[in-house]
Amino acid sequence: MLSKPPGDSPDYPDELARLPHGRHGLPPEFVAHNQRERLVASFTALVAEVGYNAATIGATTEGAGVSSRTFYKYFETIEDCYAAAFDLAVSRLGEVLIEAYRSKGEWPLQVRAAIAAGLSYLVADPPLARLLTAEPFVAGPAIAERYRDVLEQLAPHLRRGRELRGKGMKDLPETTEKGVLGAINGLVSREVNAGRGGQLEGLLPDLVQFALAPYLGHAKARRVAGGS
Amino acid sequence: MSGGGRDRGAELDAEWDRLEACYLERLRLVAAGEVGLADRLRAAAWESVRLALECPRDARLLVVEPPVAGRRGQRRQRLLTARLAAMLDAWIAAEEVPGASPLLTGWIIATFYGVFHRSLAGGREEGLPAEVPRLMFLIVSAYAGAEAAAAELDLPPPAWLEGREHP
Repeated sequence: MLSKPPGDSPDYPDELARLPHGRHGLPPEFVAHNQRERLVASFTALVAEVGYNAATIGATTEGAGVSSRTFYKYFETIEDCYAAAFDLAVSRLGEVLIEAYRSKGEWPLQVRAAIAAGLSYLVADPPLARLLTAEPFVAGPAIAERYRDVLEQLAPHLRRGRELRGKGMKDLPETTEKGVLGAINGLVSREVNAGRGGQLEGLLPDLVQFALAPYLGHAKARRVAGGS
Repeated sequence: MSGGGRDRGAELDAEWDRLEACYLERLRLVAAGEVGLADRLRAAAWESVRLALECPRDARLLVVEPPVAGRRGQRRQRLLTARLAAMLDAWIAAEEVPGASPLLTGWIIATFYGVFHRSLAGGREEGLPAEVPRLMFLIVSAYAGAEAAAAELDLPPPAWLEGREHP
């Protein structure tokens, strides 16, 4: 039932290759990095298969090809391991989103590009999609707080849309950006949980419309969502 | 899940059944008194707040507990979501909303869930009344635009809320 351990599959990068047994002369920093990354990768794959509630330290270490003693060198609890996996996943996704956002000149197109890039990234990495969208609500307060921190970090990029609202228009509620981002995640999470994670890119027009509508108005948001 | 001869899992399912049936019936009753989609959604939002303020334990059992209660809880969450979605689909179809996309129901549920989960998980249900206008603004924006949605921010709370202290 478990995925192959990192390093046993040709799809995994060399840095996650299982270390040779016995004395190998590899630098301690490399060993530590390798073992920690293998545990994080194993945990991510495990959560995708069985969900966070069923993910155990034993299954994580078995998937990583390391001992439980090695697990406790880097993490105190399984939630700690999730936090590390979550932080790594957010960092990688964040790079993708920012690069896409900055690839466009106008704000509405920046938002569209970021949403498109985010959806494509999640489609390409289903375990990461589940880790980031569906499981944070399951995994306890530390992960939920990290999830809220991510919304805080993304909100300013969406908030720029307020500058496009005409003079005399009512101020948007303070929580608009976090509401929009939370709802985007909720919709994506629902699709991932329903086994439709491979079709996330089909959500693009609606997500763009919903995200932009509070700032641009319905008609203009629809035009941008449609690609014009 | 059993102890002392009791099937705790079956007890939990029975509790969830009762709460879900009660909650969905409350939503149907308040929405029946309204005509437009926004009015029905607003009535449902306020009734959900009323439940959360009257019985925070029950509200947490419906919203916060299922995702962390293993496969049984997650199955219950999917069931409740499906029932809510069917109700919303009917309201949207009845209105013939011109700006409605096929994902509008999912957007409404995701918006509701995010706000209620955040408040209930943090024990901040007393802050929910202040969230309703903002919640409605986001939802109405999605199908009718920000200008139509702006009116939601100025609507007064329901009469039953008067006299309650809230932030």
